Amino acid sequence: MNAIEITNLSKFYPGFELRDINLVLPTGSIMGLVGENGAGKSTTINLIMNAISRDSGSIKVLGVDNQSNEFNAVKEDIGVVLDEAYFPEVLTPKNVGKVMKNTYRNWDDDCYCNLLERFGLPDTKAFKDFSRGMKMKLAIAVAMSHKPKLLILDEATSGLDPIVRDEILDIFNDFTRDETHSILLSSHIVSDLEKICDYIAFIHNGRLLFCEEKDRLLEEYAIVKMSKADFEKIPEQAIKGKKVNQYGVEALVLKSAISRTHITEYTSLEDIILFLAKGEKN
Amino acid sequence: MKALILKDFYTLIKQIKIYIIFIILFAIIPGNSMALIAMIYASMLPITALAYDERSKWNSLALMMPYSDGSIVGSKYILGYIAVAVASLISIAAQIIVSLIKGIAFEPEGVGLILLIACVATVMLAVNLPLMFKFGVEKARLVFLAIVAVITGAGMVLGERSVELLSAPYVNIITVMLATIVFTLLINLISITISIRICKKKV
Repeated sequence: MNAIEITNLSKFYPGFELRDINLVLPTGSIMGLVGENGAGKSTTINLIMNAISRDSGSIKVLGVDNQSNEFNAVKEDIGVVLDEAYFPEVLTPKNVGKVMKNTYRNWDDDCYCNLLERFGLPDTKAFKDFSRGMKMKLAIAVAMSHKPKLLILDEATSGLDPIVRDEILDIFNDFTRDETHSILLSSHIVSDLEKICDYIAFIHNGRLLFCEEKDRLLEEYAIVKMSKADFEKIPEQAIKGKKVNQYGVEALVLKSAISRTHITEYTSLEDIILFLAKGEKN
Repeated sequence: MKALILKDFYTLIKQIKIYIIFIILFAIIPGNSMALIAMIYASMLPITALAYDERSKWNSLALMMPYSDGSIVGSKYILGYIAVAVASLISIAAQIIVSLIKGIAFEPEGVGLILLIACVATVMLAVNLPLMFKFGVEKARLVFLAIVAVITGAGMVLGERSVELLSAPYVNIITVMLATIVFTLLINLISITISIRICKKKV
């Protein structure tokens, strides 16, 4: 069973449209959803959780259509962290724990207290006095304390310092050791996604440019640096993005579509995304 | 639903303490208009809770959690009903205590009047909440003020006529009370149905 299955999903707003998104997150894996601001990542997450209604297409989460009556029960198995924590500001972590105990049937008080301790969150301090890092840690503690099978994280690590981010990524990695657990993680920080994701989905201007295994992507693409004259010999269909300057051309190419005699360099996920996004604009 | 009421309780705990002091003060001061103010005050608690929800963007998070539209809406109504019930009980208790201190007999009509005032407060709640769900707290306050102005205007025009009607020999206080209770229940049921529909209608 797939954790998330999105087929031909579209949503139209005046001035923005999310069009024909097809995406599958296999159970047991971590998928990174990447894209610039306003590309449609949060809209996709809201559509997955049925917080906004879709115009066409279908979405199945943990095997259930998200517009069916059973989906509310499925939400018990989904932990969501949004770009901000959004708890009422006067609540303390202790209050939040009591509210969530009455929200989720599978709420695990011990797990929550352990996470609060691990994150160094004071039990009785009001949420409004928390730093952004502390707020996000609280949201992550809540999302992980009701035995979820799927975590959906919208920019959960942005605004956090590298040490905290690394710590949180470790927790996410631990979470997917159980093969029934899956994560969909949207982020601007491509290095974070490269560290932990099995799959990468790249949304650009409301369209999904690719949704592929990360290792395959890194194998498929390469960077070439050459003179303009040499570059002209590269077949057009192999070029996915290029930067031209006075010294020559730097380009992202499909390895399989160019001659093996060309010298290629390893490409990072960030390069692939930047070249593809700029290539689209050009 | 219990989780959402608990969340509002924690959010409003400071206000609730101040409200209770005000309600006791209003209840002790002689005159039923004070009980009316206390009760209207109590019926505003869910609106304060909604304002807090809006400020923290709680609703965005609530949509990700296993709360039904019914419980999101219902929790605010129940919070209002609990607040009005507590205000009513404090008002009745205060009247009994005041009559005991003064050494005069407690008039049971006072209870009937407080019940009527509680009905007025819950009707206000029923008018207010769908507006709050639809327009958000800030805009809804203006819409509500406009509605109150229209009702007050209509009341002033019909005022004298209604006094005539109420003083007619075939109208007694029991009939008026029963009619008020039925009207209150009906308007609350309609209000809850409308609010759930508003919440179901997604962007």
